[in-house]
Amino acid sequence: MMAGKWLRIRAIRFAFLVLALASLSPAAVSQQALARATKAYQQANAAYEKNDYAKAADLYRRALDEGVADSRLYFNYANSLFRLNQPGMAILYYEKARKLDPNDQDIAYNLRFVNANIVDKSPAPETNALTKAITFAHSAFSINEGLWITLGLFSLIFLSAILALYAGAAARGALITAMVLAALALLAMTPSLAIKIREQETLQYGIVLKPAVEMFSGPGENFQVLTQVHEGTKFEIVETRGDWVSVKLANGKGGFVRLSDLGKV
Amino acid sequence: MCKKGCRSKPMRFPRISIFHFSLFILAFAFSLSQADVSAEASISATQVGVGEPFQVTVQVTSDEKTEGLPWPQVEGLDKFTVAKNTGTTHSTQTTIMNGKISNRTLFIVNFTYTLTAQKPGVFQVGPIRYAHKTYDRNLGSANITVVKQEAGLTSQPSLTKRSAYVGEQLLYNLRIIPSQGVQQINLPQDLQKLIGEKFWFQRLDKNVEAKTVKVNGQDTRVFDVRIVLFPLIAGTADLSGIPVEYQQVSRTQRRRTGSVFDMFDDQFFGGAGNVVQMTAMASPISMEVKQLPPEAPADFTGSVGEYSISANLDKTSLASGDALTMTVTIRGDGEPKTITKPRLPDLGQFEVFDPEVTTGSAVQGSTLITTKTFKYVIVPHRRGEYTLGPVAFSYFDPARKAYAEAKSQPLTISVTQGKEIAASPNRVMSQREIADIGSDIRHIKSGSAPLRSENDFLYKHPWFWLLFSPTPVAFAMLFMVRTRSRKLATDATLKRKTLAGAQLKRRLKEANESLKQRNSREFYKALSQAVVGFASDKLNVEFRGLTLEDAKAQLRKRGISAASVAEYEKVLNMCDFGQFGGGERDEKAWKESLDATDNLLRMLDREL
Repeated sequence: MMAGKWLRIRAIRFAFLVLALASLSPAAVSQQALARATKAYQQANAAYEKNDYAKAADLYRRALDEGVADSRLYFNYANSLFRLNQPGMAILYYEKARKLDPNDQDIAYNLRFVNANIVDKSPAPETNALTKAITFAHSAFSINEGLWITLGLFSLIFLSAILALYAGAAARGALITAMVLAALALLAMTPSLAIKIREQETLQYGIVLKPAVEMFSGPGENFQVLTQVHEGTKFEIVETRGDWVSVKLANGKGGFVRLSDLGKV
Repeated sequence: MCKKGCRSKPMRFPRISIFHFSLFILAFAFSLSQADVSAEASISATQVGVGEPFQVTVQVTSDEKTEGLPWPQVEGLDKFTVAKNTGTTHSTQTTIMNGKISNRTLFIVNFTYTLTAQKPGVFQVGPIRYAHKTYDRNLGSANITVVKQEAGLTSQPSLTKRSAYVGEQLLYNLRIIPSQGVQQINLPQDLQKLIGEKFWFQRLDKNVEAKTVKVNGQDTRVFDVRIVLFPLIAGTADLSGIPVEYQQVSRTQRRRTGSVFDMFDDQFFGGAGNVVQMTAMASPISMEVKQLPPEAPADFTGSVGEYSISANLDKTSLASGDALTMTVTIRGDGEPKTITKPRLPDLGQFEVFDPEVTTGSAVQGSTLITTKTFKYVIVPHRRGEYTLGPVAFSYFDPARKAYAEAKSQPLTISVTQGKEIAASPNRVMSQREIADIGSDIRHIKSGSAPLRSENDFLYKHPWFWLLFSPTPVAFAMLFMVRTRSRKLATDATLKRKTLAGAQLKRRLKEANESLKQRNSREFYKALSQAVVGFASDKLNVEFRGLTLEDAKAQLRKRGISAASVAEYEKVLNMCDFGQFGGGERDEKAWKESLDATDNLLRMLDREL
């Protein structure tokens, strides 16, 4: 009787806590908006199939305006932009798509294809097999996938531990092995995931959208022109100062470009 | 125009004439009579040609040092152009007289007059007089016969236009008409200094060949030196006279002596004439250079003249990604350096590389024609039929006095499917990129699956992090349960105490059942057993069988408060009364009994 009351009170408190935490979650796109975006997306696909790239791009744009961020939508929109001879914009949306789905081979291929034909080129750094393997593993999953995998591994460890409490000696050995392997996998996974989340939260990249953009030594046209970057060039955004953006190129060189000359990934 | 030599210099040592010799003897006689200063005069020739220089020299010998010696006084020099110079030497004479040796140093000064006659005739040079301190002597005079040159050189400059635009080609022709005895005609090496910075020039002919033309109705052998000029600066431009150097072989008349040595004067032996280096100076020419009109086209780079442009392709049909060469040739008579890259048509569907440029020039008649060729390698990106608009070049046409544009014919290219985009050779590409070239982008993603918002990252949701808690919590709980159950299995006291609650719950359930059946006796019995059993289980002491006083003593012994003990006594008395004394029959009394028992059990639970 007393214990029952106590349990009820605890359960009610927990429910309130869950509701409070849930209320802190980011606002999601409404189902109506998703439905409208999906409809525009499918119409855009049909227009693309008929080689009406302008119409397709317009419809993809409408879907994006609903606030939907779907890697397929980004990819298809980038394709239509490429067909419309807008390589800078195409690269921007391929990059956005890759950010959401780093494993997609089509995105990676088309991004390489368009990048191969822009003016400014950054030769890929030479890497050894180990670096390649680490890079591959790091880019093998998205943030959400990584988080689900982390949760799975974490839960597996404790489930194995629970089972091991009641299992016989033979089964306990296998369960402990599984637990150790899951723990190692979790240890390997966590830094990569942490880096990705950090990059997501702190790093921002930009793509040059105009044929040629002058890079200045300071945030203004009165500063010295350092170099000229061309459409499709990707760089890291260091900070934004009004209408100017401090950027860092892949070769380490930095400068300022106009905010209006670039698109943020 | 300068028909005669303007300067000359002796090429051979002057010969000594009889007059010269007699003049020398006369002067020597005077010198003997004067111990301190003596003077003598000499002349290199008494018959010369117009423009041919000769020398009159007065040699003064003195015991004293030569500083301050005056120049001789020579009359009749106004008929000649005169150049003067001096030279000093000294000598030592040793004499032995009466066994005594004495030395005497003589200082010798040569005062030399180089005279050039400007016209033929007989002119007297002298009297020549020299005076210094007490020395004052007339050294004599001589008649010089100047004859007209039989040979010489005429240079006639001409210019095609005296008024031209900046950058327009002009022909400067220097016609050289040599006479007999002229040899080795040379133009100065550094013409740029003479022509000046106002012109860019180029000689049309490397070697000047003689040719025969009619001059004043007579066949005349001439040399034409052709130079093309391009005025660089607007305004009045002066072309200074260009000197033409040549060698003149002149024959100097000499009085024949009838001796056998006269034969050495014959031309055969080379002794019949002087070879004189002469220079004929062409007259300067002045011209007017006009500025180009304003509002030149944006791509105008200064070419003035007549221009043409042509363009052609090495192939007109190819696959996308393959390269072709477009050759553009610009040809014109303007200044060569002004021909720059032509204006290409819109080649948006092509990749265009920097051209290979070659420049050539040729002489057509009296005009310098410059040809500049630009070879562009272009790569079509996509298949299709393309017509390349004309390639254009802007220039100024002086004939029409307006800017003009030379255009090539449009070119047609047929591009078939091939590599969509060609690899640029000046780009750094990875092997993977190279492998990608030649294919298309991958097709769009289709399918009817609805879109989803993928940028809704899980780590931003607290509920996601809560999902991490169930398994460790469950593990912890199960671990504790397992540990406790193991402990209970080995500790009976603990087990009894732990199970006290469950036993109590079971007994109270029995009491409730009796209450529902309105069985008062059984109800109070169940309550009594619940209270006694709970106390026994919690204290691990068997209360059943104990008297009430013993039970109270045990409770006190275990630290139970007096209030709880009193309540214990009260509840047990109530239960005894209910079981054995007929007790309360109404539900209200039962309910109060149940509440009193519940209150007691709470008190005991807290304290036990």
